[in-house]
Amino acid sequence: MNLRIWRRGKKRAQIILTMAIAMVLVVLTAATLVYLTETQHMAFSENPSRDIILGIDSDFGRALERILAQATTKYNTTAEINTPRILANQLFTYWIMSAQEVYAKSGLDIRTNLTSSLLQPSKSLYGYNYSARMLYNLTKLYWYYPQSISAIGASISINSVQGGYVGWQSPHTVLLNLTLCVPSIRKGSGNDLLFNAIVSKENNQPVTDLTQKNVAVYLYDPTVGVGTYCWKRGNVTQLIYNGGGNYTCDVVPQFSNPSQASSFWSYYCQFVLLIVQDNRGIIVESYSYTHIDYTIQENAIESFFPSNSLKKWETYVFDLLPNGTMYWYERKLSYSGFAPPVPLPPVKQFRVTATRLGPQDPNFVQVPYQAEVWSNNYLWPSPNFAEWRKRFENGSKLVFEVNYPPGVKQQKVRISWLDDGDTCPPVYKINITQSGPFASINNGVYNLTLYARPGYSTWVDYSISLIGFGYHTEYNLLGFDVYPMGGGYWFPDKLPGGNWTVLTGPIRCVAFRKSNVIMEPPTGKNYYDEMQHQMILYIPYNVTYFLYDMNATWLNSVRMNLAYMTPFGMIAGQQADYSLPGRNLRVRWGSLLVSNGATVNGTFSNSSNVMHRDRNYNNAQNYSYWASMYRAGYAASMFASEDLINELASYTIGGTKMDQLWVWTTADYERRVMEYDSIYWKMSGTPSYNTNPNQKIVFRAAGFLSSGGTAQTSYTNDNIWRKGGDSSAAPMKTSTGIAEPSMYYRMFLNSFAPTLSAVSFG
Amino acid sequence: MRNKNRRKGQMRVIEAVLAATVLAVSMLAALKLTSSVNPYASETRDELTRYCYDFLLSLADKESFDKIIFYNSALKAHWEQTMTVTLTSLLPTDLFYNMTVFNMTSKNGIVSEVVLNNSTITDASPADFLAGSEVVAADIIYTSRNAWVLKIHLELARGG
Repeated sequence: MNLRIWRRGKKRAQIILTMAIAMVLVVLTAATLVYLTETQHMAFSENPSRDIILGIDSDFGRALERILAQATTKYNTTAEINTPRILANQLFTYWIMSAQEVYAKSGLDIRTNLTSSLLQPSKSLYGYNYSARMLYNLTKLYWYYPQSISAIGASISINSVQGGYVGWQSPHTVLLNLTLCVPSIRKGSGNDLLFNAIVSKENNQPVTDLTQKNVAVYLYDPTVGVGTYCWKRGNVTQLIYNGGGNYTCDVVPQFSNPSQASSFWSYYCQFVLLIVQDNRGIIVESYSYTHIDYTIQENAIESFFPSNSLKKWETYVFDLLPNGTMYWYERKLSYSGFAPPVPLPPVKQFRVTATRLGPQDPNFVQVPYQAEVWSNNYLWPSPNFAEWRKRFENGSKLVFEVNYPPGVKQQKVRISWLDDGDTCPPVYKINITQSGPFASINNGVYNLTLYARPGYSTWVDYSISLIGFGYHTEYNLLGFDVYPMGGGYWFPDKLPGGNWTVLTGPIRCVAFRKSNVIMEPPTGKNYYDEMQHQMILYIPYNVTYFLYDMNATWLNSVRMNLAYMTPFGMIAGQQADYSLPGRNLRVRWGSLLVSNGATVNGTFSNSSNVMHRDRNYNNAQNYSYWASMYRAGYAASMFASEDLINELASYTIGGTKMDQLWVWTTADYERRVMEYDSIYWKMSGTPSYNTNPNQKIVFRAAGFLSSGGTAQTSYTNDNIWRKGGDSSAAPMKTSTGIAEPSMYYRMFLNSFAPTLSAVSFG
Repeated sequence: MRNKNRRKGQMRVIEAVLAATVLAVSMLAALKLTSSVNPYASETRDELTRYCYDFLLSLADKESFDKIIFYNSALKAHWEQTMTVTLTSLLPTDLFYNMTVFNMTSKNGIVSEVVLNNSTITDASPADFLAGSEVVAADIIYTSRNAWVLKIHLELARGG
């Protein structure tokens, strides 16, 4: 009985269990069906807005990639950011308008916003500090550092009431991040260079699909000759992917003369310029260094006038070439070691800073600088002289000014290139105005006026007018022969002709001409077969000097009927200055350096035509590197280089050198003249002279304004300074007017040129 | 004894049926959850529309439009034929297609659609579309490498 009851209970339990399982199954099945139905409803609902939005979002990201690719490609060629930025904005607008046009019918409201975000926090890498890098204004390019980034960012928002999407928003950032691993640069087993680079994109994803065709490597070729660009694209033989976006690049440098390339392996191999273009077309450019530091020592003044308060105009204008050589006044600064080459970013990226108080000064301040474009051999300014929309390529010069105040003999200069592609070029500080045939250049200290389109007038005697420090002086650049006329003579009979081209950059103006025109103002004739001449005038910003470079060749044996030639001189005064009040402005005294290092001082005449120093009367052949005309508050000086001194001594007649420094007051008493003559005008029995074809006239000189001084204590010595018919036009024993020319003339001599004391990079 | 065995047998049968049901439901659920949209098996117009978008977006993701339409940033000659061959090979044989590519052309600040293809990109006649049981269409926007913005319009019709 009990057993039967137990079995009946067992059967019931089985049925209950079975029913329970069946119920669970039914419930589970129903739940699964409901879930599947819901999923299907969501996935395949009638309104396809979800797919449309995903499609738009996907193409928005793609459009940003395309825009960044186009912008970086454009920037790579234009070297200025405005054009690529405009292009990027145009493409962005075009995309938005296109999307709105395409999806307007679908009831979509598409909007975009430019985002602002932090791309990379401030950091230190390979010893160089990076500022925080922000992404804004659609695209940002941070190039030319070991770690460089190209980025674009914007967000898209879509509202579709019909599709049930309101407030849908998606921010997008597209970027390419390249890190040139500077410590990894090393020589390979053969004549190859190895280095590593890490390439990543947005969300720190490694870029894994680069091949040799995606990279370009530029290396310095120390063996190139003059006129050939020193950065050469290396032959990338291998690009090995190590994982994590890390590549090893194996590159074979290209040399003009491989047998002389040892300095590359010992020094120049450290300088690597790497450009990567990923398979989306986005470009980024990295350099293995970010700046070059120079310690430049002046040798002209501080040693001779230590901590002298007059030394406020010792400002040099240095020219730095891509191969790292530096020049002052067309002379290379000596340096015993290697100097880094200058890389090739757009020239607007450069910044030049310098210390003010010497190399111990921890503060660097920006100094006036500009980039210039010259011919490839650097002999002649290019018509695109001040073009900043270009890279620092062959023919480029980086020009900057460094001042040495009293007590400072060395200054540190840092040439750096900024990473931000939005960096602007330097502002112009020199103004040029052109009126009629004149070009007037204001450098902030003086106003230099050129007779830019010479004709036949009384103006042509004086090629340059320099107005500054409250007065004016004209500097004549070259003239020869004398024209006899009605009892008098026209000096000089012939002058180099041809129009001047005046080009200016932010801080230096260059006026130049290259011509075979020789003008004869007294007759109005032109000659084309006598001399080929090239002249360059340098007018830097905020200095008291201009530099004059002459390079001429006699084309024939040109006959001077009355032998006379002056390469450089200066004339102060004009008709209006003869009477009061102009008379008080005229220069009163003249001083000059003579060959033994002494100075000669004298007074110009106010009433007579006097040859104060003239070989027809006295020892005018005794001269040296400077001469100055002045009064209190104003001085005009001319500084001769060693080249000019040699040039002056290179003309002989009958075996006698014909040079002198001619000092005189003109026949109308209105003007005072000091000029270097290579052939002085011999008053009695004036000889003729036939020039030597192919003889070159090559020299440099400088004109210089300063604050002058006064001369004291007259005496009489006609051999030193003739009085002529004016007893007041006497030589003077002492003068405060010699202080400035005595101090500054060495700046313009090769033997006292600045030198590089140290060069480093980082 | 016979009744006892019969009852036992019935329970085994019920249990077997239940087990089979569990297995069948699990398999069906698994199949449903793991299967993608299959145009061959798609049964609704919505699924076909979805397929149409997916197809276009996958072509866009692979930059197929760039590869087919452009060469060195310029239009390829006879790219329409290449597109036709590509679509014919990728789309199921029981689907008719008709594609139109528009260049979004900006002129005087106004963007308008200009048909880019000079010849039709289709494997069907208009009659085929009329005869089709279902016709769907999808538009996507595509920005090419040379920064042209294209509107790609694709129509699909189920054959027969």
